[in-house]
Amino acid sequence: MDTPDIFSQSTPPPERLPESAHGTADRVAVLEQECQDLRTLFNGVFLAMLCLALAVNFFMFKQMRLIQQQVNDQRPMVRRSTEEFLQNRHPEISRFMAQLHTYAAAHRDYQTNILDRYRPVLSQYFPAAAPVQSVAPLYSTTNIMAPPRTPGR
Amino acid sequence: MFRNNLLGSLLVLLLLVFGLLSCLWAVRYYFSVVEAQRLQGQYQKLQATMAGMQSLVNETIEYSRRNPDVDPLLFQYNLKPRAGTNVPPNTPGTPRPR
Repeated sequence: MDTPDIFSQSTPPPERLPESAHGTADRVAVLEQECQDLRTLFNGVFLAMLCLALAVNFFMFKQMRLIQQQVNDQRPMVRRSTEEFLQNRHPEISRFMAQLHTYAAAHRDYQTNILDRYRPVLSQYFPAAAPVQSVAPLYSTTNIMAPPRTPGR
Repeated sequence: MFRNNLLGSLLVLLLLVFGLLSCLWAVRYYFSVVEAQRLQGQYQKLQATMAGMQSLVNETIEYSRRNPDVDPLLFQYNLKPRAGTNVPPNTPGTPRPR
């Protein structure tokens, strides 16, 4: 805060200097008082912001600790369940599903009515779907539903 | 200004430190939430697989009443009790007693 700039603009004429010197001193005092008030206000506002920041920090720290504790509790349980599933259940389920697919290949009603409905849930145990063909279907010789071929063609 | 106002400088500095700490907690909170969601999703997928498998077995047992030719498969995995035995049925994936 450089005060001389302010007073240089309002320098009175030299003939009235003794009268206005007293007024200038008053102005300086008022300005100093206002400056001090502003400084106090500034400190007060910053103190309030600090309190707010402290509260926000405390809240976020508690939330962070809470979720970290939750993760630390969940992690071993999920890891144990996953390992147990992959070691014990997954191979047996895979074998069972492979045999079910073999069975379903011979029993289309089972395939369409039951097995296909579980494709979204048990997608990992289903073979990748064959691409859809837009051309006319080719009749297989093993398909009993196919129309008989005309001999000679 | 800050040279004349030591208290103000200190307050600004403290506010800056608290702001940085808030950012740190926010970042750690974000990554913890992401990991919690990942773990939860993994566990739910596991549960859904088991529930789906159980439902499939139940429907297959129901189907076997109309088509007994699926029975050998169910007997093999001890999913359906053989006639004349009191052995409780198993679910696929449950370790059988050896």
